[in-house]
Amino acid sequence: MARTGLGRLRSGLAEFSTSNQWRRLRPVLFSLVVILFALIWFAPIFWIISISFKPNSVAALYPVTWIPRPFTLENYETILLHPTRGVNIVRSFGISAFVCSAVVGGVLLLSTPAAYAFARLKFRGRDTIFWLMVATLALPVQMFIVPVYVILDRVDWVNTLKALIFPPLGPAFALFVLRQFMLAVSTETEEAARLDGCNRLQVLWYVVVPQIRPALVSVGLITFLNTWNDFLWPLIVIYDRDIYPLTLALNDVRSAYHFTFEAGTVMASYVVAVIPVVVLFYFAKNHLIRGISLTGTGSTM
Amino acid sequence: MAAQESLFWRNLKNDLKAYAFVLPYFCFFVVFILLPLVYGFALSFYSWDLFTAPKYVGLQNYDKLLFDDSRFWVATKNTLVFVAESVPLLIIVPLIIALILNRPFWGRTWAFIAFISVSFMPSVAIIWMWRWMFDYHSGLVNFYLGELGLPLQNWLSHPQLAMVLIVLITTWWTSGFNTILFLSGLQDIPRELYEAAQVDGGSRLAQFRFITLPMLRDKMVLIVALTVMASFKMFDQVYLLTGGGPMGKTRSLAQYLYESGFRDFKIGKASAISWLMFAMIMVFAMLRVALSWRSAKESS
Repeated sequence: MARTGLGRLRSGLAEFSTSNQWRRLRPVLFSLVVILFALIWFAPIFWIISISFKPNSVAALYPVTWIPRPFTLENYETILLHPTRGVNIVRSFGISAFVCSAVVGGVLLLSTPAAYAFARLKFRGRDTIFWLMVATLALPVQMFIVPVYVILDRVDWVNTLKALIFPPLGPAFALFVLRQFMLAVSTETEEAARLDGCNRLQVLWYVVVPQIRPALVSVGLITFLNTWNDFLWPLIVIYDRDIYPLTLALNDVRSAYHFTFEAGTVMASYVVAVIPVVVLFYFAKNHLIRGISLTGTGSTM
Repeated sequence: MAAQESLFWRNLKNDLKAYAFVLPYFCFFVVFILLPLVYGFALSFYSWDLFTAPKYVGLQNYDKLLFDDSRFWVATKNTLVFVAESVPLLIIVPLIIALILNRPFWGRTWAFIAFISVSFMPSVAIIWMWRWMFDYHSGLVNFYLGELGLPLQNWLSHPQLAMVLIVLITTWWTSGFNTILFLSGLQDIPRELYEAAQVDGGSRLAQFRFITLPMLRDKMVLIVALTVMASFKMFDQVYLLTGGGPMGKTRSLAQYLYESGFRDFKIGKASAISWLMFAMIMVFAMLRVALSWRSAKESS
């Protein structure tokens, strides 16, 4: 009896699974399930955003309410206009923006000509040096922090922005990626430009750079994000609150403003810190994704 | 003779021109990569607190760490546990998300943004949010446990629970990167293979088993190597979530190195830890180098 019931159910299901109704219903169901899953995945971020718009008196009340009611901007006012208790998010935001721009500019300016030389020119020691650079890419950052700190200490650069700007110019990530990209570009135009009397530097600037622009953008974005979000290195080399980059300031916000009583203010500072990331993500999503798949540097955590 | 000499000079001139392109970057490479490597290795044989004169102690730093430092071994164990637990999750979860996102469906872009963008947020914000959620008194998780009439948990002061939380939060936070890597791998698989399989009546599961997985193999090796190395040097999560506690039960090697070098100012000991870390991760580092090397060779 049960068997025939089950059998009927099974044949019913089989019939349904090939029916037109199911064929139309399936993509809708798939979309719904995935979007539900995505919403749950993203819910903690919604929570942060929603709390940042609540007055501190109701911010940390449970159960969770997603729509901030009453809606207020006073947390953003506190963070942006009335920096107190030693935390200045606006200043730290500016410092991070400056450091990141300097690092991105430096990385691109240094790596592009070097990548060009490794991709196109023949010189003695080329393969050895390149191999050396690639090999050091695989070393964990912990191998460098102690000696680099000591070196910076020797030249009195610890606790200055120089300590944040210069060491990130060392790793060969950008060079490696840009070289790969240059090798994939045809050399015909370059040779024509050479025949027309361009020197190597002109060829690089007028012919190669425009062709590898997407790679430059991707590498620049990844470098920007890694520097913007970096926590360990600033934690080690910066201890003066006046020059705290954003991640250190965010870490301070938590102790300056109490989580339970001033959660709204804390969350507002987090939202402010993430805005550039959101803007980049929105406008340059594909560049960013290509950057990650090219370098694999995303997983640096 | 003259012809040979001019060839020599021409070669030299060529070399110098090329060096001029490389040199600006190479200076930074030497100062911030090569020199620190050598210097760090040398420092690991000294006892030094940055203020007094460094003292040569031979292998004593290594000797102490390996044979007379239970905290080092606990940190090593914690790190290996974290790697063993987080790497499979950071492979499986991103692979599933990538397989979903690789299909066309309504709302795909928004789902993509929801899954990926979390990974681009700063550790401080992410970790502190979770830390608050799991707070004993004011946390949301304990509030709901209370509502359901379940016993409240002291999440972050419970050794096993704290580590599980670190693993789960890391999975949620960093899955986006591996998802992107898997997606780019999936998009490189030729569509014809699946079409042929459909003609032959291969089920979806069979397609995954006999087309997707084998075609992803190279990517998979790369992602595993990257993820193992990333998990191995995990720092932010422990530092911000538990500070290594309770009783050092979540302290990772990176955290221990930080404490030794920049809280206790034992520079030699911290350097020795970094080289021991390198020794442990070397196989994966070499795998990573080999893969970079191969992709570099392929495109030249």
